[in-house]
Amino acid sequence: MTIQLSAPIVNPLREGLRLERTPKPAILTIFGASGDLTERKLIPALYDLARERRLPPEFTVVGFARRPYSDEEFRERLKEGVARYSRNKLGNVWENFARGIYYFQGDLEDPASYQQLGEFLGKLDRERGTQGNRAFYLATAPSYFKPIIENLGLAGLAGTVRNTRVVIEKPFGHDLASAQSLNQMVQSVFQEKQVYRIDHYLGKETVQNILVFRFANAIFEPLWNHRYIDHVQITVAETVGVENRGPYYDEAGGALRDMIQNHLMQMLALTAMEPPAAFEADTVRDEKVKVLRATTVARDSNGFKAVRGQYLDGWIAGEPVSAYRSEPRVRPGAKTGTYITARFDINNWRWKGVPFYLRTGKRMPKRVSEIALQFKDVPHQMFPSMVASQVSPNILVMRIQPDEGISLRIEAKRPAPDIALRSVNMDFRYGETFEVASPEAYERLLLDCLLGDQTLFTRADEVEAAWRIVMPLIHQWDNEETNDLTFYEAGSWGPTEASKLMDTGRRWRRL
Amino acid sequence: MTNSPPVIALAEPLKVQVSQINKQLSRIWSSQNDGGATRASTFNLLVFDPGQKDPNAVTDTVGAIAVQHPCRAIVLAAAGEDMPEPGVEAFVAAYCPVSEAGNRETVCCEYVTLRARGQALVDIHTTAASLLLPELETILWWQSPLNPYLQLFTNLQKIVDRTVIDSTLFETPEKGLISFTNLVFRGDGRGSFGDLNWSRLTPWREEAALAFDSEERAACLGALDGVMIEYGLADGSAPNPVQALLFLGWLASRLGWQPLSVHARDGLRQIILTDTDQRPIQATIRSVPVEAALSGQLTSVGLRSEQMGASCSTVLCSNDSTSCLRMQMNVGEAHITQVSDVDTQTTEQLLREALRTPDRDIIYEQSLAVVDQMLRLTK
Repeated sequence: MTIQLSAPIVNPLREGLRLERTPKPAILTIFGASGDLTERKLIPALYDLARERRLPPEFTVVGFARRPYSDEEFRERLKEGVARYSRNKLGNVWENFARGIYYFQGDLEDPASYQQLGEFLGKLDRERGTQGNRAFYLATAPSYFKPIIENLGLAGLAGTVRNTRVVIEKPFGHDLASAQSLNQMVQSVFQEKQVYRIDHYLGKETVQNILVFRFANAIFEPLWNHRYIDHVQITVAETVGVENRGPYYDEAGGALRDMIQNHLMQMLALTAMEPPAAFEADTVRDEKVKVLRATTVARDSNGFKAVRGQYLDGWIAGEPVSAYRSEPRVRPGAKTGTYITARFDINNWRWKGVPFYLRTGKRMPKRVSEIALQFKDVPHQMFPSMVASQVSPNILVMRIQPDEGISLRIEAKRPAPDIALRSVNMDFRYGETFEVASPEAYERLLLDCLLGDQTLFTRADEVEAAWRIVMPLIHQWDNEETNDLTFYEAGSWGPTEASKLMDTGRRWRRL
Repeated sequence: MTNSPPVIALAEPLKVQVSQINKQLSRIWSSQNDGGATRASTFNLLVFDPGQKDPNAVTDTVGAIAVQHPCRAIVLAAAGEDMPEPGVEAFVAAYCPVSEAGNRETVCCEYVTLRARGQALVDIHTTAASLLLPELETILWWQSPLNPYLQLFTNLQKIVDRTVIDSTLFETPEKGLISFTNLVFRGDGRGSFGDLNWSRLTPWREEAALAFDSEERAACLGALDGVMIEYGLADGSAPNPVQALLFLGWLASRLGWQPLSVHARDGLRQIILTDTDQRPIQATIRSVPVEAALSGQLTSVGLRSEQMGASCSTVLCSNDSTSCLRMQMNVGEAHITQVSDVDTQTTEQLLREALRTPDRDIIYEQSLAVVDQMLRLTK
């Protein structure tokens, strides 16, 4: 099921087609265009969109960076990236698509560059018919966000809600104070409705699948609360290590900032939020903010219920892998947590007393992302004790990857003269995973941004609410004197301390 | 050729009495309980494939559809002289797709093959009706010209919710189209219709829509007064303008044009339409030589406006291989060319798209209604 935004159809030829509207002709200016993100993600995604007729013919890309490329050199570089990273083979479309790509050599910190950029964009408007519509993509290190935004404002390029957008990659701040400061700075130049904070992890399909599952089926919502649910486990496990992102990951503070604050908080919000009144950007995000504001890190007499770990040497898929501290350019003795688990409490009527256990880690045995809701035991055990001991709680799992789908564990009777029970998994995988190539997350996100749909982008208050939740852990772990780092073998499910985090009678799912 | 996953037989085809079909299916599922095979169904799929002789042959396409849309598939086949009449032969099987990892998927699908001939085939809809899973949509995929099975087709309309045909299979395209539109608009059936040939037009429709998305270009739609549609005609083939007619029907239905007159000769059609302001629009459909594989396929569409001139002119054309569409248009000072790939769509992909469409494809029906009017006006 595809949920379309209700939008007036101006073009009668669009009625009945899979995309009821295409973005207006626009120029997408990418700051930091000589970097990896542009080559590996952005341009291949745009190429795939163009190939599938989802972009207007006038669509134009301007790459802004310091290096001295010509248009042709830049296009040639991007062509290699598309050949490697696009979902589709490089075909007839490339040449035509490449004609709409231009390069602008400039200095991110020099206001004069932005004046010149403005003139260049005006010239392209006339040549390409882009009508003054602009999107600015900040594919740079966070330290450049401020000069870029300020200089866009100074050069008069901030435009209006109707014709200009700015896309900002995560991380959005490195703690609450910096996120608030960045928000203030961005909002001094752009209106909130122009700002698209990107979190590519949750693609549209996943978000839609969770919301459809919850709110298009009447049978689940009555059970979706503290009366029936014992606890929730949210897991994002990766097999990869930090690869070549060592210094960035180390400096950024590891899994807490890289995954928990954004990706896992988004999954928590989607699972726990109240039903929005409509599937519209602000209505959905209002409910996410509400539930995030009610969320705190649990603590007991021993402190916060959280564990951080770091991987040691080990084996992944039959290959030996190095410890985190042996990864290229990681600080010796770094205390960065590559594994985090924590218990969160949501203090509202729906979820009071239901722990949300979140865990994420690198160098896990398998790559898996899921949200598992374990239901409470039956209130009364009517079966004989031998049978009763076989009864397992029901578990509803929303699998994000791989093989997006839903799984429900129920108890059933074995075919036998006596009552003997066994657990049965009812498993259903969505059509997207049935041999149909699903679009990359960036394709959806870029298209949504160009269409002006903010549903999948985080709002200012949402970002701040997510930071606020993890700040106690940030304070604790940014303190070099805190000595609670644990270790785990790469290829294992994390440090043994993680299982002790679980409250009595509960255990981590074996995945 | 499909890239659908292979399937393995949960149970190989077994010949059974018609009255034992459901029982045999229950036995199959019961025997798999410990193996954890799960039965999930999203619709009943009736397939009429007159050439289907071997009940072992799970066609790639039916298999691929069942993988993505678990269902009970009932294949209806026309038996040859080897079969005594009256009578219906039945075969029952279940198949499970194999995942990339080589594991059998746990959601499997049921296949029932019914073979008959003569009157038994014409009346097979009652047998098929008894095998349908309750409360699920029933879709008929008709893989044949309408004739000589027109009565069977009509009878099946009594039990199906949706029928998908392929108008490229019509042996005499225009007569076939007239028979079909009669059934759609004047028949007793309650269901909706789809056409794989219509699905083949999706890239053309999307490309045409793309040309008029901007506000500036959208103004051209009300000023169009000339349409030229070319379709392929291979040496030795009969003209097949069905795709061209469907495209023009689509354009006309979207823009509120009504056909006034149609003159046809060989592969050429001249059609006069009027818009809601009685403004005349002249459309031409003509054939152009192509190689055999491209016969019947659209090769180009030209849209123009005398009043607005070059700023509204739009041309869509395919390369010889039809692997890409090129669109050229003027926007202010700019002359824009857009090229998009058109992957050769397999039958499986076309059918998947047709099945993805919600219950009624209103746009298709409205387009077909205009085609129906044009066919009736044809001199």
